[in-house]
Amino acid sequence: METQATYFVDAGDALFKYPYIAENQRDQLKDVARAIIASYNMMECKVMNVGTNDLAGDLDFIMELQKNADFPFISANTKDVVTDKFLFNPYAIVETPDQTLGFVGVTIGDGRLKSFAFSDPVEAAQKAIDEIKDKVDLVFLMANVDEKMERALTAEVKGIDFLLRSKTGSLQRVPRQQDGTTVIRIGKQGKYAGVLKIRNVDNVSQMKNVSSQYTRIKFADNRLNAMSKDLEQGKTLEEHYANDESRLKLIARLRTERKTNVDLIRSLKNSYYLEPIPLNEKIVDTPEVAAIVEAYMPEDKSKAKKDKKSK
Amino acid sequence: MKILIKQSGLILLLIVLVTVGCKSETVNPLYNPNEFTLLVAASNDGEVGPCG
Repeated sequence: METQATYFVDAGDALFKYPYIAENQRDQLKDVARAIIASYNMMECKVMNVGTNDLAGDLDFIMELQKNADFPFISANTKDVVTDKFLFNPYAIVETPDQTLGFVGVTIGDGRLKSFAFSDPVEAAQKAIDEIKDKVDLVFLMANVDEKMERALTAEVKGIDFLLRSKTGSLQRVPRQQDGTTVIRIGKQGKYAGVLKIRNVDNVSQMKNVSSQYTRIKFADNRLNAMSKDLEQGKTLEEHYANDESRLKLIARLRTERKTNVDLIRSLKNSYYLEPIPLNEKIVDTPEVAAIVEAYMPEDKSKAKKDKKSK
Repeated sequence: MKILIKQSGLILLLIVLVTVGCKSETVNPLYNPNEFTLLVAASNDGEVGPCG
């Protein structure tokens, strides 16, 4: 059975909600940030763009987290205000079995972050992209910016294939094309994870959104799986429903529809599909990560969880 | 600052991402050629908490 290589990336603002921390919450929120990094290590995160809010714990703290992370922190425009030197690598390159992916990170910055300075995101992004464009198959700009800066980036920076936006309140189920760049927005507060499936055969063909085809494939799969529930081992659906003509017709139609859509996607060369996954109660905890969270969770939250489960 | 997540809806992003089977696969010979999946997190905003 074939599968797809999957890579977990973070576009920014993973660790804190604001670019500052109230003094009475400092220790607690730093522990939460440490838990997030420990969990990202467990999940084999490939790269994290350092968003403005990620800097809320100040310079020493973000450096401590970077040291403890098994994956690179990137930012092409975040500097140490004292030395005026850039603090992170501007990009990271991720190798898939047959693709080379370039990730560039920028953030908009915030004047309340006194230990940091931020150079122009547009210039920084272009410089980093120019450095990697000949080495990679696709360029992902992880942009921790506002609406205005997002528009400036897509309008002025050349060579972006996908802009992965953080610092946005809105989820866009159907990604927008903006100045030839596909913009991915998956909302805020960790409410969604974005599963972005990409097929990239060449560097010439236009990248097409195949969401409707994937939706039909998923629908066909769900129906076929539902009918397979009581299937005897070794039997096909057609054998199981041999005496049920209407079921046989439905099975044939679903298989045909599935194949038609799979073939269409295959014929397109370059395509993508975004599926936002709501992070709700339907998701079952993974024990290893749940253990990290439990260990770091503030007492009051832990109590609330237990109270809820006991009801 | 609010740090407690809403028990009903918000869950730990990290837990979920692994759970939905999206853990990074760095070594897997059985892949569709020219295809890959990015699991994108953005603006988690420091949210952690239990599922459900």
